Amino acid sequence: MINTNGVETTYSERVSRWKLMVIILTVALMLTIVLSLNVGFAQIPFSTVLKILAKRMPFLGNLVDSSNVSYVEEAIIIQIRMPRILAGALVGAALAAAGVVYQGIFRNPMADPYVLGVSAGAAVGASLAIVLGIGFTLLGVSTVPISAFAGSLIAVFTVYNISRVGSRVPVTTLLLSGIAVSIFLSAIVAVLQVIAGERLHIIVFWLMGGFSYVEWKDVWAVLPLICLGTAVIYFYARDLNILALGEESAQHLGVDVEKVKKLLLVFASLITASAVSISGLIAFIGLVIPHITRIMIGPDHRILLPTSIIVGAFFLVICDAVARVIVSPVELPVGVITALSGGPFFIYLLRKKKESYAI
Amino acid sequence: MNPKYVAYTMTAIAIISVISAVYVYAYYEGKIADMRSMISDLQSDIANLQSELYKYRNLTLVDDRGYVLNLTSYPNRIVSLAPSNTEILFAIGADDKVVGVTDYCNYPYNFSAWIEAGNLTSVGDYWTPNIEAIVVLEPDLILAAFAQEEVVNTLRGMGYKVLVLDPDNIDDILKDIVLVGRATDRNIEAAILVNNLRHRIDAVVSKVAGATFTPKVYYEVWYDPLWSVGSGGWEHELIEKAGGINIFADQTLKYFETSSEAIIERNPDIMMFPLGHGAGPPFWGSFDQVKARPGWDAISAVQNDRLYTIDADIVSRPGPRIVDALEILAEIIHPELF
Amino acid sequence: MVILTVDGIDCYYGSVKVLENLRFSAKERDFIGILGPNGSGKTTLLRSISRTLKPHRGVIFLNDADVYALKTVEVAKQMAVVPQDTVIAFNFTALDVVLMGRNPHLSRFQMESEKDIAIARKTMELTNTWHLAERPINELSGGERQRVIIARALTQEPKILLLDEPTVHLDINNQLEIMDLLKELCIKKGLIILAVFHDFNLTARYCDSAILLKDGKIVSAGNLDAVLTSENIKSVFQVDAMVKRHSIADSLYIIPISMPKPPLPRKLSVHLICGAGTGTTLMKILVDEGYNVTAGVLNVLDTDHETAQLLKIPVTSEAPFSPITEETHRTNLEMISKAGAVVLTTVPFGYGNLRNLEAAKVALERGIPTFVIEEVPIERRDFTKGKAKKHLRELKSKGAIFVRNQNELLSLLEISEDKVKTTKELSTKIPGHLKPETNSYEEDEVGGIRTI
Repeated sequence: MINTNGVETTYSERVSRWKLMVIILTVALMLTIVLSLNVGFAQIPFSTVLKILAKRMPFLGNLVDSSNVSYVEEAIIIQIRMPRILAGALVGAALAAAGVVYQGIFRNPMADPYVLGVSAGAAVGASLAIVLGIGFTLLGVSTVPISAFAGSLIAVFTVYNISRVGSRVPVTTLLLSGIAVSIFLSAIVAVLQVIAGERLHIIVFWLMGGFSYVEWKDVWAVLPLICLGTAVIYFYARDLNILALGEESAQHLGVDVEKVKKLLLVFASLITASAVSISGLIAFIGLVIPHITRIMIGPDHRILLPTSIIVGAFFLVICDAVARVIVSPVELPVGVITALSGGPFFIYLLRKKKESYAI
Repeated sequence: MNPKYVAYTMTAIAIISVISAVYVYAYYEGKIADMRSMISDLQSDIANLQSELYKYRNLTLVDDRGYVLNLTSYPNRIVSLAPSNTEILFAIGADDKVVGVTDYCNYPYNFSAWIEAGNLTSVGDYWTPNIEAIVVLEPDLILAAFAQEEVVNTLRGMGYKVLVLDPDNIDDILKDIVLVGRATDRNIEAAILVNNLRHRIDAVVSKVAGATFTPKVYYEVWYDPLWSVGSGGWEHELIEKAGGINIFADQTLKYFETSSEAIIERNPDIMMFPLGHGAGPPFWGSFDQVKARPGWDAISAVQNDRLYTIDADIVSRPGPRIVDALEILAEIIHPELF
Repeated sequence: MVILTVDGIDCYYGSVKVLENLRFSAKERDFIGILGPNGSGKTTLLRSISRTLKPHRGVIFLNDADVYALKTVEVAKQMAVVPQDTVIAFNFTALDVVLMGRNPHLSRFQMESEKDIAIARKTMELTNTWHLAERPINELSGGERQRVIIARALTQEPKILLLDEPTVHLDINNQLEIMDLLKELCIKKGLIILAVFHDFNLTARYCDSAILLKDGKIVSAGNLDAVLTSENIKSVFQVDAMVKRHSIADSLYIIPISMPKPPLPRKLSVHLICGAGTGTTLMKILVDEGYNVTAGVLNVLDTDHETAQLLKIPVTSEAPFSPITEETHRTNLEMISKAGAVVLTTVPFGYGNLRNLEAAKVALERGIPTFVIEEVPIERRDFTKGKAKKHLRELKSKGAIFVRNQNELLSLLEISEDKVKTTKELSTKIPGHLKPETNSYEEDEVGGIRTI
């Protein structure tokens, strides 16, 4: 090891400290997932939960005596709780990653994944499906998530094309078009709510967001999209760093700005649309988790992205567990819990680090 | 007359009568025996047929969404996801099989007390019933209602038997009662109940047929914003059958948003307000507040003080008590006839 | 050998042409300053070279390749840009920002290595920012941030460095440090440096060539001497400036002189007897105030002489370093006679210009109001062994008005403007014995104000 002094050592220390933090956070996430399996209306002893899990694992399954585990308990853990917890982790990860990307591209701390119309488009898609009541299943898959997904992609596509100037996409125009399209689509949702008549409740509950009836097939549907999307985004982590200097400067430093912007926008929108289609609109995560993570570990996107993903997943899994249990058997909308808990925590962090956290 | 002849004649007559009586008796006895054996034949036939039916053991039910459900045995653990379904179950005598209800179920018993005492389980509210709670009860039949598609899909996906009851009018409600009767082996009770209800409906309808005028009726679903009922809902049907005319009969939706202007313009003679069982004042406040609404003093119903409340539950739930609502409405609309 | 050639480019913003037919080339060790008024296209030129604004006509060559045809990364390895303003979105540390300069040399997933950090350290030490390495960039002052950005550009190890007003936020010692650094790098590492400047003198000191732009066209390009001339400055900036070569720094320096139009031409003409720079400011002020100014006798090469020429003031000149000749003296007197007032500044007197004092006396005799500025006592500037002092006393006795400084002079000039006319008329009509007498006075250090 070369004897470097002062700053260089802190730099490499920083990297190894970060690696440690990622490992700790990942372990925490795994633990939280397992512990969440214990939370729910049905009182299932934790040992049973563990047995049910072990049964499905390659080696442990043979070691564990799971004969007294009832079919019902297993159904609850595997069919009901497991998919919704995993969906929570996926959605939290996707929204946090998308939030990091949008804040990096727009160089704006107020950007969140819904800023380009993804949420408004999804709301229109879902509301349409609910109002028209299109059989509610199409080929065995519910039409609402498909419609929501389609709606969000159409909205983003529209925003993108409105703001395009030749082959460039100026960032301010994107933001403004996103706002305009979102407002317009929200008005359409309002109209749909009026003509929904007695189906109004369904729309309202979808908009509030939640994981109440998530099934395994929903999880399988979005898992590849979200994994692929976040992987592609991570490719461009360093470019996101350099974009912070401004688009011209980034170009001068060798970043193909337009291409990177387009790719990142497409994939961030894709993972957001996937998340929203199975969970409805959960606010706060995409906006604030990136900030919380940035306060904790700094703005380097190569570190920020993976950490935000883990923190986002962790946070949403916990919030969903709380939402399930706090007024059982009724379930609170998850967005309420995320906002109520995340808001004060974020304010606390800001105050603590207010001197050094300037954007 | 010779006494001997009398004696001999009477003896002869007696003997002849006895013999003919015996003959007749034997004759009819034989017939009766025949009938008896015929009856017992018939009975054994019926028993055979019944066992044949049970041999197939397939009861096919079609719910209001057209979903086809096959039952191989009658359910013993029923979960109801709507208060109307609970009322139907209890009205046809299937109550001993009910293991789970919603927080809103309150008739014919104080179910929240049952739940607290641990004799019954609540599965949550109407809009988002708790799946785990349902699953834990291991139901073999679940009766769902309108606007519960998500939970229904999930439950069916997990293999549970779910029927969705979503009637559009009174006739459909009666059909639903029959359906539930078939599903729970309470056909006879259901048939009797439906028959009874039809009689009561017909009684009202024929009575108000003799009315000389048809008052205009307004039914308020919500205030701020104002919602009323159109021809797509059974509240409208209740009004019409009770001898009134819904001021919004031209609207096809079941519920829709309207305005003070429209109501004032259509000038109803009678106004109906639902009264719920929850704590706190109803959404329309009080009659004084209603009368004080701007411009409403021009309405005939307000001027003649013909504002009435009606139990919200019996009007909005598609169950047997809908006919109670009809009778109450008829008395309000045509007091002169009742 | 790296060569940057701009070959006849036209650039547009939308439909507005902002650069027209620019042609020049730069090679290693060229330090070129780009000058011009606002809106002349300086920043645009940098942007078109750095591939931000593609020209509609013409090509920019980096060696033999069209800059726009190369891949972004390739260009970034050779060219670095220091922009005018930098707003950095997130709170990266200064070291992070400087390390971003290594981006073109690193592959996608490669982390910065020891070598990269060492390069960053070196450039930060050169720009005196290494002590700021761990500080968040947004906490630094404008100047510190500017230096960090320059360090970042240098970390790219470019062959061409483009800078847009690099010294604008820096205080004077930092300015010189950076410019020295750039010059050194230019020579030692053979960089091509193209920098936009607003400061002529800085350009003059460090650049060896310059490009002067006006309205998107090149007005002049080439060596400094050829580009930085008074004519060019006047025609491009509409400013009069003096261009001189500074002997110690061995570079040109430019002094702009502003010449607003006089408010109203006044009739009073003032003749200045001055020299050695003592009359320069006064000349300018008087011209500004609208007086007709003349001067004499001044030696050619005298500072006041130069000023007079610049201000287009009629001067009676004498050959450099020569005493005033009779002929010149007479010409001077002619000039004086046309004047309405005469002002004698605090010029030092030697035997060569003593006759100017005699001229002043003549003026008095002819009744022209004569003012003497006594800001510097005569003893300090009398190199004639007392003769000048004697002349001055005579002037006093003859009625010259002694003022302490220029401001008093100016106010008196205003008052006497009208009086002069009357006095002149009077002096011709009133018989000599009735002319107002000069009163006795007391000498004091500074000189008293006396009214006639």
